[in-house]
Parts: sequence; C-alpha cells; structure tokens
Amino acid sequence: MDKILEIKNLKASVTETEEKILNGLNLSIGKGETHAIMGPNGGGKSTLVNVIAGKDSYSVDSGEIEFFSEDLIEMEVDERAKKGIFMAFQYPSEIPGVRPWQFIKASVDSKRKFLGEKELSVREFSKIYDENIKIVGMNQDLMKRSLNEGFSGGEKKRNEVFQMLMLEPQLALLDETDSGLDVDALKSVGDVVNRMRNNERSFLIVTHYQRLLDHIKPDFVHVLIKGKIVESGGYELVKKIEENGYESFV
Amino acid sequence: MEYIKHYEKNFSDLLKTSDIDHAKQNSFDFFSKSGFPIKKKGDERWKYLDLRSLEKTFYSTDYDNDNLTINFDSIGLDKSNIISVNNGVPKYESLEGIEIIPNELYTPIFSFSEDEFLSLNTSLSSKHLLLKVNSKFNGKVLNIVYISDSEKEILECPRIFIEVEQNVELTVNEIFISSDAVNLKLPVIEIILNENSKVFHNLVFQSSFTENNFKFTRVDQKEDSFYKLTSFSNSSLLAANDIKVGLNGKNSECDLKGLYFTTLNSQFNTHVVVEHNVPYTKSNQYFKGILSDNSRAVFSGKIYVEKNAQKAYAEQKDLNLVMSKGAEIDTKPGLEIYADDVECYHGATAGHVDESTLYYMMTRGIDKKSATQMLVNGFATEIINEITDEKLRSFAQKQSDDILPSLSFDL
Ligand SMILES: Nc1ncnc2c1ncn2[C@@H]1O[C@H](COP(=O)(O)OP(=O)(O)O)[C@@H](O)[C@H]1O
Ligand SMILES: [Mg+2]
Repeated sequence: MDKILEIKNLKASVTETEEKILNGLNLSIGKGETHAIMGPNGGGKSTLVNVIAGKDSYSVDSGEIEFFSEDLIEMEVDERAKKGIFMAFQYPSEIPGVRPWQFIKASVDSKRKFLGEKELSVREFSKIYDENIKIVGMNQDLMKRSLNEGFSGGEKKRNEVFQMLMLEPQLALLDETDSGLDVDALKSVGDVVNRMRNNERSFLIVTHYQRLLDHIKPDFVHVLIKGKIVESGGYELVKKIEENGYESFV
Repeated sequence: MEYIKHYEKNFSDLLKTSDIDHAKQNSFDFFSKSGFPIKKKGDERWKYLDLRSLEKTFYSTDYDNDNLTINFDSIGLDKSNIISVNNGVPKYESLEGIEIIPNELYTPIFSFSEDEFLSLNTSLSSKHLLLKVNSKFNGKVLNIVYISDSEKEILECPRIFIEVEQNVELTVNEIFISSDAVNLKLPVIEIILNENSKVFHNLVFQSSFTENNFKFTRVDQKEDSFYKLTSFSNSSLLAANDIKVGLNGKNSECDLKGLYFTTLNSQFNTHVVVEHNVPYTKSNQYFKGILSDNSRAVFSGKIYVEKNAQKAYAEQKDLNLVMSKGAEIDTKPGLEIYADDVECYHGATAGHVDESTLYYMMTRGIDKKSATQMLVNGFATEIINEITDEKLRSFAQKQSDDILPSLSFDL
C-alpha cells in the first residue's frame, strides 16, 4: 500500500527549553487509512501533530518525517498545508477583524494556486461554503463574526471540522477535536470524518475517549506514552485501554 | 529664540491690519514666553516627540494662494456641502441650514493657555469660520477638506467653530489631503453640541512626509447630546491628533476612536482628554496604532471626573502593534477621578503580531507575509468600520489597503 506519512525514530524537543518530548517515535500511515492515537496527558500527542504540521517552537533533533516520500522537516508550515496536510487544533486561535469567509477563501485560493488549479469564482466558492456549513451544522450567525471570536469551545471545534471539509486535505490531523463536545456535536464530527474517508485520504486522530472512535472505527490504534508509541493494534485496542487504563502499557 | 522673533514680526504685522484684540495679545504673550513645547520637562504630551525641526523653519503667515483645486473624485466625496480650507484659509459657500455667527458673539470653548500650539493659532488666526447649524441641516453631511500647495513654508492657523442647535443631528467629515507642501498646520475645530444633538465626526489624515500637522478638536457637550469621533491617520512627518471633550450636560455621551499608522521616520501624537463635569455621563476612548520602520507614536489619554460627577462611566484603551525593532510607542493612559461613585476602565498594550495565530493561519496554507497582512488588516478594520460616513470609510479602507503591502515587518 502507498505510504502517505512515514515517521522513523523521531526525536523532538521544545525549542526554547530543549525539553525532550518525542523519544524515538515510529509511525507509518498508508493512503486511505485512519489511525487513532491515544495516551495519557503530557505524553506528546499534541507535540507529534504539531511537529508534522511544522510548528517552529518544536525542534526535530533526529529521525525522519516523510510525506509522500518527501522530506518534511525543512518545509515551511504553509507549504506543508498546500501539499495536503491539515491540522484541526486542540485550541484554535481567535482572529479579530478577520471573517471566517475571508479566511477560508484565502486558504482555499492559496492552496489551489499552489496546485495549479484555477481559482474558484465567488459564486462557486460560496456554493461549497454554504453546503459545508450545513454539513457541519455551523451556526450561520456565528460565521458573520470575527473568526473564532466569541465562539464556544464546541463551536470552535466545529469550525475546525468545517475548515477541514473546505480544504479537502490528503492527511488530516485531529488533535482532541472531540474534547468539550456534546453528544450531538460529537456525532456530527464523526459523521464528517466518515463521509470524508476514501482511498486517497488519511486521518490521524488524537483522542482521550472511546466515544468518537466508536463512531469512526479507526483502522489502527496506537498508544503514545512518554514520547513513544508503546503499542499498536486494531480497533480492539480501544476496548483494552478502556478496561485497563494506560498502566498496563508502561 | 530666533523663531519667536520671527513670529513677533508676523504678529505685529497682523495687528496693523486689525483692531486691537486683547485675547490675541495675551495669547501671543503666552506663546512668546514658552515657545514650542520642545523637550519640555513634565509635559507628558509632547516630551516624547522630536519637535526641534519647528525651531529651524520660519513659517510665513502670508497666504498668497487660497485658490487651490481639489480633486474630489479621488476622495469620492460629493462636491456639495463642502468647506475647503486652502493653505489654511476656510472657504465657505452658503449652505441651507447653516448660519454665520458674527465675530463679536464668539468666545472659544478652550483656553489658549492650554497649549503652545493653540496659543499660536489664537494669536495668528485671522480668518475664523463661525457656524451655527439649525434643523434645516438635520441629517446632512458637512465636508471640510484641507489642502495646501508647496510654493513656500506657510503657517496655517484655520479656526472653525460649529454650534449645533438642539435636537439636530449631523455628520462632520474632515479630510487632510496629501500634499508635498512644507507647511506647519495648526487647525482648530470647536464643536458645541446643544441639548439632544448628535454629531458624527470623521477625521482622515492622508499621508504627507513633508508637512507638520497639529490638529486640535475641542468639544462642549450639553444635556443628552452624543458625539462620536473616528479618526484615521496614515503616517505623516510629524502630526498630532489632540482631542478634548467636556461632558457638561447630564446624559451626555462621547465615543472617541482612532487608528494611526506610522511608518519610516514619522511621528504621531494622540492626546485625548475627556472631562466628566456633571453626573450621569459616559465616555469611551478606543485607539489603535500600527507602527513600523523607525516611526514613533505617543498616546496620552486622560479621563477626568469632577467631584460632583457621580455615576460617570468611562473607558479608555490604546492597543498597539509594533512591527519593527526601530519603532517605538509611548502609551500613557491616565485617570484623574474625584467622584466616588464612578465606573472607569483603562488599559494599554504594545505587542507584536501573535506568533501562534500566525502559525494557525499558516497551517491553512497562507504564507507568512499574507497571514501577517491579514492579521494587521483585521486589527485596523475594527476602527475603520467605525467611520460613520460610507464614502470616507471606503476612502480610509483604501488607504489602509495601500499601506499594508508596503509595510516592512522586521522583527
Ligand atoms: N511549547 C511548549 N513549551 C514547554 N513545554 C511544552 C510545550 N509543548 C509541550 N510541552 C511539554 O511537552 C509535554 C508533552 O505535551 P503535549 O504534546 O501537549 O502532550 P499531550 O498532547 O499528549 O497531552 C508536556 O510535558 C508539556 O508540558
Ligand atoms: Mg494535547
């Protein structure tokens, strides 16, 4: 099977403090696969997804990260995004004075331009925009405000999922998108992921809870503790974690 | 001081052509004693600015050209209801609903001793435009357009006084058109809002890297009046936006907002005083600055609450985005409160573009430069959207759109 993401023996630290977070992590994601990462707080899950997205407050000390066989480590954040990596943030930023429409239009335009696709007309864009708002169940009135300003935690998460739908990534990284969501919102996030799954697109879903995974039924589940993947398996691993906690893996 | 002698001569020439005016004489005496407020100790307003250039140029008070043409299309303004101020001389064609007040009935609403620039304006201003707006002008827009030419170094001392009658509502737009004139402008506008009147005042400074412009706004509010000022300033060599509002009637309210861009070596001073002089009054000051290159901005704001002015509500905020190592902001919020039953909030910030927000935007495929511009634009738009006149608002937005790509972000 074709690989989308290949991480080999990755060691990464916090740039400012040099604190080591990822200690030789291996992960391989094939086209069309959905992977889940579970693990205790502070284990390095957010660090991992941010290193893949390219956040420069983390440094890669050694190891490899390849995206479609291309080295990612030196690549700018926006270039990674234009090549198909998307990250749904655990804590999305608020952007005063920038409207959601303006923001996502700029994102989509930028990506299409990079890929040599023609720019969508305002009409074409609006049509997709409105459809996706309905699919995610975003409140229309919220979308008239500044991006994420005055959004509740759950609304911010829905907005992340909406942006994922708009940007149609090759690899979507979801960092605790299910935290702080009520049952309905959780179901709608699960539905969007399921509807977006296809042979070409892969997901890496970071979560604490079985709830979302019951809905999505990932192909692979990994346990990340102290900067390493200590166990990998299929969906059945979720049950094991739910019953025994993480202690059994240490 | 050499330059004071120069203005003394100008002043005595002026006296020859007019009646003896004690106010002017006192005012000039005040100026000649203190001179320009250069590096004045304890003067919070001017001490952070470099005003030394003002000593070196001997500005002339001889207005030899007051027939400049204005390209109204470039601003997008209607040609109607226009007062044009050419090289400092206000030109007025009669407007329905606006009467001229005779000179002898005029008393300024401020004291010349408040400020050296105001005292110079008071002593050398020869042509006042004194207006009274009545109900026939209700709901209309008065445009005041300032324009200068570059023939020689002129001292401009225009003075416009507007008294708004009870229950009348109007918009006042003031625009300083960019020019390569090398003038020193000391424009003063005074506005009296009588009972239950409303004024929406929009003020736009177009960029000029040759002029010095010290702009003064003085406002006197009676009962139930509402005054809103929104200013937009695109960097100038040396400029000031000096505002003082007296809330002198119960239930009067003012809302003062402003945005200043400073670039290259420009200097911009915002000075705001709101005086709550009677009970049940409300004020808001909200200013933002975007500083780049080696520019400098100063914000000094004051909320003053008189002893008997209970139930006053006052807010003041000044937020700054500092885009370059060489740029500098001095922001000084101030409270002077003598009443005990009041609600006041104030705060000031100076910071850089937020890195984690930039990262968030870049994960959506937006490159760093575009993301920065979008963030800065978002920061600016919040104030630009407060400009109540649609034409002026799009004029200001266009100015802002034009500056953004040229800003350098070197941190
Ligand atoms: N920017 C940072 N600065 C300092 N420490 C950090 C930073 N980011 C993460 N850490 C530390 O790295 C460890 C892993 O954090 P994180 O990746 O957020 O864990 P998780 O997402 O699994 O809860 C924690 O101990 C956290 O304190
Ligand atoms: Mg986390």
